[in-house]
Amino acid sequence: MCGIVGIVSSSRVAPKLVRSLLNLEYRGYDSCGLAVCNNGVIDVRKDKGPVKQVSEILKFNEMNGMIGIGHTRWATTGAVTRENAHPHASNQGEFALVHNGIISNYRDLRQMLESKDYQFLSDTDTEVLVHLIDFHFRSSGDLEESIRRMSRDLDGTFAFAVISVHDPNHIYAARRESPLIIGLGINENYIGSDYNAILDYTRNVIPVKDGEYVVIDREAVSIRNLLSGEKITRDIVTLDWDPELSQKGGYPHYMLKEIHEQPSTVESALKVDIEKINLVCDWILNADRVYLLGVGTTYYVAECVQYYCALLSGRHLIAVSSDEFEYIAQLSDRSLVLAFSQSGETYDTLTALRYAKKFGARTAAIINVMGSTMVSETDLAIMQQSGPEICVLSTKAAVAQITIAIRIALELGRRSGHLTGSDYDSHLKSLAALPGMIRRVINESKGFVNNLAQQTQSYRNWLFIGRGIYSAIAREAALKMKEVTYHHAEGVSGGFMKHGTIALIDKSFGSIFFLPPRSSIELFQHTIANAEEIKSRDGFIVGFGFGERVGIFNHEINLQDSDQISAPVLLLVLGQMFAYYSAVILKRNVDRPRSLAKSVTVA
Amino acid sequence: MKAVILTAGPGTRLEPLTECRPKALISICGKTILARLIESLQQIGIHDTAVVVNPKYSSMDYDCSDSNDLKSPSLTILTQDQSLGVGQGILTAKEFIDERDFFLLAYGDIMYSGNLFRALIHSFNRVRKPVAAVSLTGDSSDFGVIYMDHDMRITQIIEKPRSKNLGNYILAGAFILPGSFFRILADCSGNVIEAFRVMQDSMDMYASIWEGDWIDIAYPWSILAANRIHMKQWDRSSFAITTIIEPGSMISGPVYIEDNVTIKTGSSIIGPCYIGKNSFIGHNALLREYTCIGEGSIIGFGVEVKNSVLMPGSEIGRLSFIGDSVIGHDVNVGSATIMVNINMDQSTVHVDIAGESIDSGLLKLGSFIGDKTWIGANHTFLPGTKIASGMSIPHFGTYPKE
Repeated sequence: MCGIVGIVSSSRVAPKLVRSLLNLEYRGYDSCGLAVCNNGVIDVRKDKGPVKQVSEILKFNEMNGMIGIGHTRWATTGAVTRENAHPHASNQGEFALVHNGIISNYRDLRQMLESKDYQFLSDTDTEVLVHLIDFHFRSSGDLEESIRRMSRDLDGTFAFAVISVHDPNHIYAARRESPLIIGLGINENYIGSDYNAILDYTRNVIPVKDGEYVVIDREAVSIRNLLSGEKITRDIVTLDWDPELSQKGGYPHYMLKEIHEQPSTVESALKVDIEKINLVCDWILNADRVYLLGVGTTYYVAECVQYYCALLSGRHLIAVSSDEFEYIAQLSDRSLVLAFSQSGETYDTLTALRYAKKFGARTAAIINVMGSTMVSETDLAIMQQSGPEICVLSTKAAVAQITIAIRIALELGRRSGHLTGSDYDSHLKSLAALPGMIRRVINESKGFVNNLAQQTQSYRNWLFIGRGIYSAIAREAALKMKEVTYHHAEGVSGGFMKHGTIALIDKSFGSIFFLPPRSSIELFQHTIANAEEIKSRDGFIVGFGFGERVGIFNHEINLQDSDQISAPVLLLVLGQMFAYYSAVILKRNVDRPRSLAKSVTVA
Repeated sequence: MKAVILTAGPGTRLEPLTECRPKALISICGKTILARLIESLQQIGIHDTAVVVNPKYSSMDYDCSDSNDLKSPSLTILTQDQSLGVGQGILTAKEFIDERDFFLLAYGDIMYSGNLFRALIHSFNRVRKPVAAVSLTGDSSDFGVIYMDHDMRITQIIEKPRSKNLGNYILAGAFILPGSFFRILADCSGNVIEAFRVMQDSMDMYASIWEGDWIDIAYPWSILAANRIHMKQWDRSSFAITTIIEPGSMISGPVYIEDNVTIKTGSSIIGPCYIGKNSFIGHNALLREYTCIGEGSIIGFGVEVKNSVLMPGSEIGRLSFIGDSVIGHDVNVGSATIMVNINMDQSTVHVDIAGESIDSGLLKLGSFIGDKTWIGANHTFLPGTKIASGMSIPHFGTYPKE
């Protein structure tokens, strides 16, 4: 995925574009570039490397012009090189274009254009777009018409923005599947991949939907349908996120900041409108089958939710990884699909939801990003209100999603009679206390986690083990570990471990056990038995648990005793902190681990 | 902005290494701790610094410091009247700071990688309110532990928590405080933590997270840790042009060799290692990782040194072993002396600190020798041995001459 931005203004736009690119870097950070139009000439500067470095070397800030576009790239087609960086310009330099998405028929288009003497300078799919516009412009002489014609030629996904010397006051942009929004300023308007692009300038946005294109100048914006050219009117959405929140706020990394924000994101999750939660419950109770959808972290969220629902409502909802959904799901018009997505743009989850809709199934989603594609495409979108999550690894958004799902499970349990009134009340009380307990874990255990990370930095292989819901927690904690440290970590359930995985154990192999509070005595004892098995094979064992020391571990971190609703979440927070400190000690790029992007919007 | 560095602490826990000098003047890799602090301050543009010193050490002692730190014209030396703790030390600098200005306060016994003050000033510029550097350590029970909100505002400070269940950021001995802090501190009768609490209530105080290495040099073995923190930052070697390395010597890893050093045939130096100027490394010596040899030292034939700090002017007699040890200034270690660094039962090494046996938590730890001590030949020292300054220990197991 990539980040795009465009600004048209009554003053120089380059410095603002650079700030936008910095805020968009989490969407892609292998190359970047700007195109600014001034006095009938488009100046394109781009290279591989982070925004800060490239913009200093190429002096982005000195570019003159009151209209421009910018791009941060996360390579999908074509290697990371200067030539492949965006913006791409047409051969005569009359057009410059930035693009996010994948054009699947670009080879055919390229062949066609090359036969008409268009010179290709890059290996990207994007370059065909700019030449196609040029091609259509030569016959139509109308930029809007050229864009409409081009979009009919394209297979695949796109959000693009284009500027032209033929119309130096307007930015043209369009989307199919990839995200795009419009931002409204004073004497200045913007387009961007998401709100981060424009957060520093305005809070007023208009989401652009699939199959639409927009034309903006510094005073007005218009949205039209790509096929019919029909004009569309849409309301302005005012974002209530504080731009301060989007910056690191003094923390060394976004990940640590976002871990620290979890008490307040859980508080926001507890304030989510009960009407919406009740509506999901209605749908669940009336459905013939309920799927929980997520991929990566959100799949493990779905797994946790599966356990919470079984415990609190006596119901088995089926967690499926979005990418495998089509191959396994059995859907009808009475089915319900409940998806989890931080960005609301996750390609695999969107595809799965669209697949479910074909069968007439109901769709609902718990989403963090307002105005995202999933919000408009699902029957019910529950906004989790966690604020922007910038670190590529999801921490606070995942914990907030779990919180909302616990509320759903509790309501289900109450309504189906699975929970007695007093059980329901006491669980509700534990949930209300969760933010305080997370705050306490963060404020009282960080030092111990850092110590552990210091002592275990040489372990390159880990098993994360738990039973029951703790196996899901172990898998999510293991995902955090591998994402940010690049060390191998595998989450596995305690019973499963001896059916094969245990063969890996030797003294260079670390294992972390996620222990339930002793009130779940059977689960606790069974997990301890697994720990003994690994200990007897010389494995290095670590315990994350509650209350008194267990004594068998090489290293243990014990939190204050807790209840069965909060305990899994608290251990997940420990797991997040362990991944974080391990990565800091190993000097990894914490907020932007190699090969990862914040929201995966490609197949 | 001005800065105040506190160096007047008695350093009792660091004895015998602080018997002849304040701990801020302990030298690691050719530079005292104080000199490193001043260097970090200068890097962020702070040139007007006061150093609060202990009257126990005469200005003569400071003048004798090897790196001439206190001769710098921009340094103001303030002598603390009586050694009555950190609070009184800070109050000594009251006249030096304008009531309306913010100032940087640093404890003179901290060592860190990179520049902790730079991070501190960045945090300060963000909030323009009092800021405290915070760090994570192994055991927080010796420090002030803080609780903070997600916006990094400090919500609670707990001094030396007795509970073993508290592992959070600790105050890392560097602060940016308002000039009015002196008044608050005086009102709190010099109790620093109490003054921080008052300030945190009245005007907020923010944390500045330091994730680099950090240590408070509290115990003799902290000097070894500080030495490692320093050497771990090296990514290259440096040899003075006057270095003489005889054929048949082997050098690997990052090694810093200062002027006029001679390394005789058959020696092996495995970095990271530091060799101060005018030192002599005898035939077949083995200097292993994290060895720091102070200037003007003589290492005899066949000596092995490992993870140790030798202050300037050390002379180590032939066939000795110095492991995980700290040797004071101008110490003479006789031939075939072994500083054993491991207990027979593989237990962690305990050291007698101010009359109390303290667990160092280390499986390997050698001896600590005070300044100007003369040790005869053929001794074996048990792990955790301390020898006072100025001692003269006769040769061991000698056959009577007559």
